[in-house]
Amino acid sequence: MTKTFTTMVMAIIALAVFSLPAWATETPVTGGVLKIAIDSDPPTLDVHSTRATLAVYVAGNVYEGLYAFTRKGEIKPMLASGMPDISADKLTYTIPLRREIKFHNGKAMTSADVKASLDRWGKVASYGKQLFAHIESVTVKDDYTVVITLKEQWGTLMSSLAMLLGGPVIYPEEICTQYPAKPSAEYIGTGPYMFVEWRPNDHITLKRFDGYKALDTASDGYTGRKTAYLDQLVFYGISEEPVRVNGVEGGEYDFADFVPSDEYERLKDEKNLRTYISPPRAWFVFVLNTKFGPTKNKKVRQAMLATLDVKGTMAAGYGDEIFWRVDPSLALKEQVWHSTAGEAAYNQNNIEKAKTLLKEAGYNGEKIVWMAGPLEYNLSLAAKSNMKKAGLNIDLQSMEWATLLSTRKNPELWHAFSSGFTAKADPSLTTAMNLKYGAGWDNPEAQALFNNFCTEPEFESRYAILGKFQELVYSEVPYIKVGDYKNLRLSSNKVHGFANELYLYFFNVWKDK
Amino acid sequence: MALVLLVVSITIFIVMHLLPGDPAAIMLGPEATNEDIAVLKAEMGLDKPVWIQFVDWTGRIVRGDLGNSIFFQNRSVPDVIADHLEATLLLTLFSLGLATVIGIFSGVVAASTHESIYDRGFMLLTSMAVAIPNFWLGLMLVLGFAIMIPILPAAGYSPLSQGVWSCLSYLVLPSITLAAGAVALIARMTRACMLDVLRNDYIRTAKAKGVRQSFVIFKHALRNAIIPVVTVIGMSFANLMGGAVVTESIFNIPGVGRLLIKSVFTRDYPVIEGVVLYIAIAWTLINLMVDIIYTLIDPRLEY
Amino acid sequence: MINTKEKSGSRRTLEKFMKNPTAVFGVVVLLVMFIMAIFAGQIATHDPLEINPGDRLMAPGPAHWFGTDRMGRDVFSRVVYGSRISLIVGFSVVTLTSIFGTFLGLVSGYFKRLDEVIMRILDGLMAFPGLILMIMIMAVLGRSLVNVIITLAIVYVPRMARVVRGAVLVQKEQTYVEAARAIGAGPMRILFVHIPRNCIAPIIIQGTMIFAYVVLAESALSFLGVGMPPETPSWGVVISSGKVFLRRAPWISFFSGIAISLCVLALNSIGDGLRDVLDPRLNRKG
Repeated sequence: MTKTFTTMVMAIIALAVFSLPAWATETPVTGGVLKIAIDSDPPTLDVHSTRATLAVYVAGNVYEGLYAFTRKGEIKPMLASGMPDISADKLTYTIPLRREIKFHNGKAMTSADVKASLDRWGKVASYGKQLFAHIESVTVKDDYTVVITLKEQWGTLMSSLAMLLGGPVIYPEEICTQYPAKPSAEYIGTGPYMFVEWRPNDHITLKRFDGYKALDTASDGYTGRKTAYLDQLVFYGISEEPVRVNGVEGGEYDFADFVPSDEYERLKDEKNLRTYISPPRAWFVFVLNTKFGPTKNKKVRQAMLATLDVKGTMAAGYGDEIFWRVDPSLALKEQVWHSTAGEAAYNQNNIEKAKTLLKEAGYNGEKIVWMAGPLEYNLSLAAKSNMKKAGLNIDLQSMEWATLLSTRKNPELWHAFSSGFTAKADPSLTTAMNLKYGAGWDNPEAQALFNNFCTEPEFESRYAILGKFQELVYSEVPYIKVGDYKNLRLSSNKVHGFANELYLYFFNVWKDK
Repeated sequence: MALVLLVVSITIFIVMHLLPGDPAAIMLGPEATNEDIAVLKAEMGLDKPVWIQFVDWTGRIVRGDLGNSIFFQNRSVPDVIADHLEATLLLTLFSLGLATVIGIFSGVVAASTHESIYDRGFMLLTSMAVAIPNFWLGLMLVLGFAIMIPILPAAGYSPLSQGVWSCLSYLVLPSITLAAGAVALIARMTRACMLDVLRNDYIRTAKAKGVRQSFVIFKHALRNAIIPVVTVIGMSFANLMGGAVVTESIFNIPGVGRLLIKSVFTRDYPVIEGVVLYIAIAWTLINLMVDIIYTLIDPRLEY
Repeated sequence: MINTKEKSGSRRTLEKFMKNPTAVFGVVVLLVMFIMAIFAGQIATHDPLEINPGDRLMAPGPAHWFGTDRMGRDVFSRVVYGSRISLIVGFSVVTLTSIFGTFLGLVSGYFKRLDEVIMRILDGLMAFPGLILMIMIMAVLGRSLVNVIITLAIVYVPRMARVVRGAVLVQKEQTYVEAARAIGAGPMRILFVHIPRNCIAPIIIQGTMIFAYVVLAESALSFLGVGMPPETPSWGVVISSGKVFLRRAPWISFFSGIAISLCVLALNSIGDGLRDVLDPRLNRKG
């Protein structure tokens, strides 16, 4: 019996010893430099001044807003100390602020900084200008309370305050007064990493901010505890894909975004690398001209919709199935706004039905001019073959973006073009709900739904309105959604904790020594 | 020279403004509406009539102000070009060096073994080198030496400041790609000139006098044959400084050629103008240098 | 009198040409390409434009001799049809440059004052790296077969013009010109009838060279994404479409490149052969 006992003890010890390494890697390591290859230098790090996602990849580690989104898209307080106190008429939002927050330059954050930042955002940022059209004022009640008064009920206020992309992140008051209109050249925020230097076309360096005051709630997306394990983050803007990939393989970089998806097969088996398939950021769409040409006729547009075979089109036009997704919703599956309204009309792949619709429309083979840029060309080509089978006369033209955008200004010259709609924090901010896009969609019902969606503050009601809007899109067909698409990201296997969300961020990430 | 530059500048300005589209649209991306683009365009001063823009631009050019890049965070155009110059310069020197050495050497050998199997092989190889599209050669080199036998990097560039060997390793394949065409030209030119010269009387005289074969070839013949070869080398140099657009594209080398292509696609007007002017100036200067080298080699020529 | 002499002269020229093995090789290869282009429909095994998402990136095999590309199209058929594009573009551009280039060359070689102006402009155009000029003109005009032809013609006219001008300058001093003037021929007749007859050799030679340049240039433009529209079975487009798949599917870029190389090699050999035969005194260094 002692013999079995000893063997058991030894087995347990052996087990413990062999699992030690596994434990070791799961304990975060503090220290080290993380080298990140992104696909170019951002235009600026002043989040108010740009809607470029690249800016957020870097700035998301440096700045914070009053509120922030969890992975799913729920709104939680960040620099605010709690959810706002909303008046009965839903026009006044009183926001309490945390008292212990310090900026990277050591200054303590007060409501004066918050007011200055919000006002600046309202003047400088495109989303800010849109929102401030409905804001009466932003006032300071005391050092740690800010009050936002609306002109009318407005549903997107909270998501705007939580938004990072082109969103109202909080700067010190001095920065706002020093750079009232032009993009700021100094980057001072409250986040876990702080700005060190930017050598244009070379690199941007951030370092840990020791004075960061983390929340003690669980990390979830941009909310909760954000820990800066690394000493430094260095971002390299490398526009050439192979260089990014080779760089990670060779050890020059620790992380690369936008890796060619065709490399996935080879890279996923490499022992010292880790691949991540990014969540979809956008979906491909064919935008139709509802005002001129054969597409003016609703039945023609419905016919085009009916021919769509999403799987075949995405496979031919974009690549392996892991990198795209069939989904009818105008919002992404990952978002709270996802809806299957109107899905019967999505992905029909029904050529016969299309033929019938075309006959009803009185379509006589009129030419449909369709413009596609380099990224979407193959996709459009694949879709075109089904449309041809239904009898549509498609004149598909490949153009570089500059030419496409210039021709698009004249709606008489085109009838369809291919594009991508990126997902945003709030659907009202997406191009999918932008009725002025392309040639414009003059539909009173759509306009009414959009207005209601914006003014309605309650989530449940907004969700229902969004569903109706989506159904309308599938019956009126101002545009045809194809499918969601994803990208490939790559890191060395020494990198841990990467959350692989829509936008890159590197707090809560550590690197083995 | 000034006249050529003037013609080049005006042509570029005209062509650029004939290009459909504008940088404002590219900056805002495909999801912007036409109104958004129009607003930014006005802010950037691009909605003024073309002739006013031309006057503004000539005024600036005359003062030597090439303006700021639209897409490189407002850096001045000369700075942007300078950033990209190192890569092009190194690539040019490396390829030209390879091409000159291999070209002259093989040309001389071919000439001195005229009609032999080596000579025939030489003619065949040079014909092929000129016929093969250089971008395809680049791809095949990558396939061979970076993918199938992974000894060299497939693409990219490492600045000199980060290590000489590393920098060179990235330049090997692109330099071979670029050198291929130039080698053929230089080699053939060398061979042709050498053949001409070798038939000359004074060479026969020297041979009759009993001077050793190889000595005769290298000293006398080459010296006289060199001038047209220098022309070809000069032309190749000028071409390469223009930025070997396609090779830089395949190998993702951040040189002047790539800068130009990128700027054309993004309609970064100041950079396009700057780069084209730079190329025209470089070309003219190099031709001037070649002329000077002539006088050094052959004091009979006077300038 | 002149006519009979020319006839036997051209027969002699032809015989001499045929003695050159590389030149004959060139003619044979070009003929094969010609046949491929004309009978592409019969020779190709599939429709070069037919998309087959299920068959993407297949290696060469009995069903697809050169494999398939990213959209499942048969590479062999695309390479066969590619000969059509290259030959059509080549012939069209050579024709256009011959007409306009010859005209400009004649006029500027003969009339001193016009020469100054025309040559300055052409010099300016030639100071541009050709590829860049082509990229910009294509960006202005848009991607299509016709626009590629126009762009290439614009870029290569100066070359033809220079060569013709050079020949005219030489011819101007010849005795037959004086003789023609003596019998009362006006400058127009001399310029557009007598002189061109004696400039045919350089025009033909330069034409063959331009043909070769054009095949390469069209493929380079298509490769960069500014030439033929992306679905066209042009050799350059096919190479470009294989660029990202070099590791997974090297056959896409491989075969089309061989096609271009053979075609250009053939054209160069013919050009060299013609030069040997039509004007052996022509400086071989040129």
